[in-house]
Amino acid sequence: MKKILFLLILMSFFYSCKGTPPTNDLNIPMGLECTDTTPSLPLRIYFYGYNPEPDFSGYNIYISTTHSSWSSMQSLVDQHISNGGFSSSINNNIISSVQGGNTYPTIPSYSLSQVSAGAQKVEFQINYDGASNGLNLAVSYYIGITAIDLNNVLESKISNIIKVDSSSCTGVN
Amino acid sequence: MKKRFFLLCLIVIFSSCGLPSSEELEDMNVPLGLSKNQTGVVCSGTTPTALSISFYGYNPESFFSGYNVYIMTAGTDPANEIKIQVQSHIIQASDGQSSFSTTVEDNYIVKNSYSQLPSVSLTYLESNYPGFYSQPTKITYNITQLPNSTSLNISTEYSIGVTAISLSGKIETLPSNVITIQFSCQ
Repeated sequence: MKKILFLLILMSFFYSCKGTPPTNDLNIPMGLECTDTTPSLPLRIYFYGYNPEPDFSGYNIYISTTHSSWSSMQSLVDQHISNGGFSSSINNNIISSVQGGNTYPTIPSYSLSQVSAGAQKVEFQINYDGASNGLNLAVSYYIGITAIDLNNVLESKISNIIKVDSSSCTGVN
Repeated sequence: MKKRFFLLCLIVIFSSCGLPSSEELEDMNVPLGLSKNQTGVVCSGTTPTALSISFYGYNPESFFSGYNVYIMTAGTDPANEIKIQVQSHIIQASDGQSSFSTTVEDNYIVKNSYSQLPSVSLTYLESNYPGFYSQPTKITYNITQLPNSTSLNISTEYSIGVTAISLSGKIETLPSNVITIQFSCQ
């Protein structure tokens, strides 16, 4: 009886020990900016990444003309993982690594060097949107980046968001 | 004897409650995208008064204490020179306990307005960036003094890097990208 009582007490301590909440395993890319003050085509961007995770697969570039805030863009990322796999429902908001295809991540890890060793600047040129249509800077695009792990179906939260059109490239909250 | 054993078990459980595990600590996000804020130098007429930097941070971890800003006179390999000081900051003792190196702190880490560390405190973050815990945030910070509380030297080029730190967990991330800024008004 005493043993059972002690076991119950121990279990109650374990359950009440909340500790810290688990965090996503993938570091978030940040520092997304346009290379040129006045954007032109192809759109040149850069960001910083540090992803030493062993199953890091690369970076996805999200693009939208309607998701105009960080939380709205993050809602796209939240829809990307469904039932233990990656959903294709938002493919039109992710730039494929091959135009006209559905090949992800946008920037595969094998094309990156040094992002596992420390903070690195990553540069990329965007020629087309998530539906493989050529960019038209007469309209405004909202762009963000995630780090992705295809093996374990993990994706980081989205980076800072930029709003880009032919006149400017600015940060969005 | 049995009672003592159970008491010991309870103490161990109590003492482990609330402390971050090593895996959680490794998850602390590195600040990234360090850059000059505008020209990188705050000027009063032609006199430089501060170095101005900005970087992106996202650290919702409960054990996160703030950011340390490392600064030194620029050498030939700024990124590596900053990284060496960051890696020297936490001293691992043979008994498994760790402590912070005062030599590194006195010479390479900028103090906050209360002459304490971390350079960018939680109080500063919470009062200036209310959305800090929920999304990646661009943080601006001015450096007005060197780590030893002396003035910045005019025309000197400085290397700067930023880390995220947990004072309770005695752990610090790798440095952000490193930048160099000359302390002068053109």
